[in-house]
Amino acid sequence: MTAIYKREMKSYFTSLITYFFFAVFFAVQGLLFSYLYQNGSTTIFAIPFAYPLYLTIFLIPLLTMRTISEDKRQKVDQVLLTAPVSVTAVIMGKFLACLTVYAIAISPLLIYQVVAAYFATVNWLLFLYAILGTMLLAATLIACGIFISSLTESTALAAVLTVGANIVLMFIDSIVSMSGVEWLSKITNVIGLMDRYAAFADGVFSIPDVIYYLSFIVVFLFLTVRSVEKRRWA
Amino acid sequence: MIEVSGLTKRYGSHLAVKDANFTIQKGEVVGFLGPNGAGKSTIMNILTGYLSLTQGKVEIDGFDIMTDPELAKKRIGYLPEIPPLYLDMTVREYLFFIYDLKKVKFPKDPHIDEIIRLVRITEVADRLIKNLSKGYRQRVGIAGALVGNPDVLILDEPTVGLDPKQIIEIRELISKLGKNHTIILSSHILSEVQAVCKRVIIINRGHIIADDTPEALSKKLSTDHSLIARIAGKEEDALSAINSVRKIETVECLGEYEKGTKDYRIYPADTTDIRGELIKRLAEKNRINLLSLSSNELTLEQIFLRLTGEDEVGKYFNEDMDTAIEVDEVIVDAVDEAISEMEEEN
Repeated sequence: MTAIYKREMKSYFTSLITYFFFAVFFAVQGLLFSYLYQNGSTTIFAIPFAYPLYLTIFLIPLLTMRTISEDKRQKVDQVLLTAPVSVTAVIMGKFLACLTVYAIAISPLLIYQVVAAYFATVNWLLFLYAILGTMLLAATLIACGIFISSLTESTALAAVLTVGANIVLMFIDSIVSMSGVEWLSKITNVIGLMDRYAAFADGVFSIPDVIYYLSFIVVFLFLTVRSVEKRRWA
Repeated sequence: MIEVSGLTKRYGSHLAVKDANFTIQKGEVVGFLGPNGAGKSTIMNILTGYLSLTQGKVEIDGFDIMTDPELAKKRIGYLPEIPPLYLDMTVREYLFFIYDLKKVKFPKDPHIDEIIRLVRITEVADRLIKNLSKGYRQRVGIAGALVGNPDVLILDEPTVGLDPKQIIEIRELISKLGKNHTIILSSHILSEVQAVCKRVIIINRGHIIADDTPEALSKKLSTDHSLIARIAGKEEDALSAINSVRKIETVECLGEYEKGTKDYRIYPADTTDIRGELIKRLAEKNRINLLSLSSNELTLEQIFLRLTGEDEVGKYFNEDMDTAIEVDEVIVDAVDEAISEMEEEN
């Protein structure tokens, strides 16, 4: 798993896409920071965290689209699957590398908090919850993206499908509740990732919410392992 | 070392490999031979654990590839048909990655350096793989298979797409590796298998149709044990000399292919080797000279065509009469053409 993780990290840092990813995140976060703190002076984290989240819908697919599809296309999966490692270890290595890149992308938030702490009192616990919520939500989208990447050999198709899946995962509840079909929105309320995220961003920590995200992640990663394994049996 | 029994692989309704059985001993160098799409790569992919099997059992050094995959895979180095290389890495980075991936226990730097020297890629070790030529990529693939010094090497068409010089170099490398590894290699080039393998497994349409040494296969499939002799001198002298050899069934004069000589086809009565006596008798006789003597053994090419049912004798080995007959007609036409050409020349 460490071998895969190291190799993926190296690959991310030699790819232009990753730097584009960082640039967009850094710029948006920086702008939000200077705008909000200059004008409104809030230490509520919902806003500086939430806007970049909308970006993730389009940016996370850039990170995940190649994870498995590219290996398959270039037949590199043959070296991974004939090595004495389990498929789970391969997928976990890729997942953790992707998550690390995302963590680096939101790391400036930490710097901003340190700056803010110099001028005002910052509630670090709230900050921690907000970071945790963001990471959990991103991890869910990444797991979903990796799963979709395992379904196709085309990176472009993987990216487009992942954007679609992200939109569904994040907004299905609000879309359905607007339609007014009550029984349907009862179901989709369970899926909506944003509601739970909002709680984290508001500084409410609840273990069920953590488990809720973790179960999404586990299901997607499990499906990925099955999808990679399935090709061996096909 | 490798035990395969009743191996069957089915893709939906398509049967890719049917009931393959073979055992490969430690230190053997075995060639898989077959036309494209015969099932060679499928078998290799199953042996290395890349594909699952529908039925049967594959054991590597006593470890089942399905139930103990990690222990079995540890013993195998695999070079797939397309070398699985990360193009954005340098050669050394790639080999280090494989080293980590396989959880090799040897000291890292000396081990990788040794492999780089062995496959002779020192001069490109720090270049990006995407900038390497096909020949070098192939070698990096072989280097990857060698990481961790596995007992078994499985090489799928290791020389495909290389130029003649590279082919010779890769063959030499394989021969060198064959001294302390068990090797399976596949090829649809017969001379290649003949050059490096002591045993050939011929696969066609998912069936193993032969498994023997190249020489034994040639003997087994030869429909006759006739000899061809080219003798300078008068025909009656030559014939009387040949006929003085015991255990000769018939002699047939094939005509003049070289000025002042005649070629004779000699059929021995049984399988006894008559060459020694024949040469002695011909030497004793004055006024004639034996210029060459060859046995009518099949080359691997002919064996292959015969077994895969693509020559005129092959139809007896193959149930698929239609193709055989079709091919038969083509061959008859080609032979007719060759004969008329020869007549014109004479």
